[in-house]
Amino acid sequence: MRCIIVDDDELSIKLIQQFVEQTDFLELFTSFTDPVEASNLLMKEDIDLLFLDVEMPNLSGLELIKNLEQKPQIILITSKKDYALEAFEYQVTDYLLKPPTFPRFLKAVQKAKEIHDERVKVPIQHVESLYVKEDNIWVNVPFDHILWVEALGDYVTINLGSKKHTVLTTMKAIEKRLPIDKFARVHRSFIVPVNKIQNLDGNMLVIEKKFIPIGKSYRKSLMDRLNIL
Amino acid sequence: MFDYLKNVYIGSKVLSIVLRMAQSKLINLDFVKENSFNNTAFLKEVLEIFLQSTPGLLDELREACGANDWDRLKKVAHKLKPQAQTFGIGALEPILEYLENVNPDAKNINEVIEFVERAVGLVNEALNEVNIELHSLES
Repeated sequence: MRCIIVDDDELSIKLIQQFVEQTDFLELFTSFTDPVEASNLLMKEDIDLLFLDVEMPNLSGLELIKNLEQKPQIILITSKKDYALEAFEYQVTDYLLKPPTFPRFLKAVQKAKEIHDERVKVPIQHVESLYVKEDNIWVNVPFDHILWVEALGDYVTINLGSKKHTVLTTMKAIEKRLPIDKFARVHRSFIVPVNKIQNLDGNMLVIEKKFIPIGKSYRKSLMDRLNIL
Repeated sequence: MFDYLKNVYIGSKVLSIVLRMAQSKLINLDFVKENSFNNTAFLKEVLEIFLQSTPGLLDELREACGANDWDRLKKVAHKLKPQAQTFGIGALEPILEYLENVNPDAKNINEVIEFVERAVGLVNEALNEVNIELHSLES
């Protein structure tokens, strides 16, 4: 599960980082002391779990939750018990008091993982393609024909080998349209069909002679999905 | 025989001094050490963060008190609370609890100043102890 930490206190961040490193199913994407920066990232990136402090300057943790259109799972970490009731109105996964012990942290993240695993199990719609608009015509793009998807500024290109489609959208939006059992985000700017990966070499993978970088924070989840002998 | 007894006597004397010193310590690093998972680099980093970030909070606490800015005072006390818990500064916790919930009026303003100074004194003492711990890790 990809997670981020948002806390204006560096000491708290350090402790949670340490706990995340000890938990094999968690992958720390990044951490922020500024909640506004975190809010901007959450609009662009797919994050599964957010460790969030409540009392922060500029934007409180609860305000940050209110502003999010798509909420990842949230574990609040704060020094005050007072927010517990309000927090659960926002359907947070758990609520930890600072400084949390590792067993209590583990209990919270295991609960988050169970919820995450249940969501992933939801059957994917029985569709085999997506439609993209090109010259005012909706063109059918079968999933099986896609070699890789690449971010290019405000656009995303869907590469099919002989041709490609360029669409005004975000990686996050297109990722949601692709079946998660077939495609994997391997880099901030790349999504690939897992069964079309021909070679892996260090931090690169190859599909049809195209070298595609593997982002550090995506590497573990990709390797977990490959049937490695 | 005499030498043996002398050594036992000196040994127990040293032990009692060490125990007394240990008991008189303000900080308790059990929580940090337990959560370091034997990672000395992590432990050092946590001590360094405490040494770097805390003095600024003390200045802020005094400034807020001097300016009668009670909201700010409460916020700074709130920020110091997890640090007190993380570094096992038990004596500091009730003081921060008081400052976090302070609602001063003309009657108790001197009491607030006194609590702020006590907090500053304890944290400074804790900073010294953490500094010694850090040096012992480095050596």
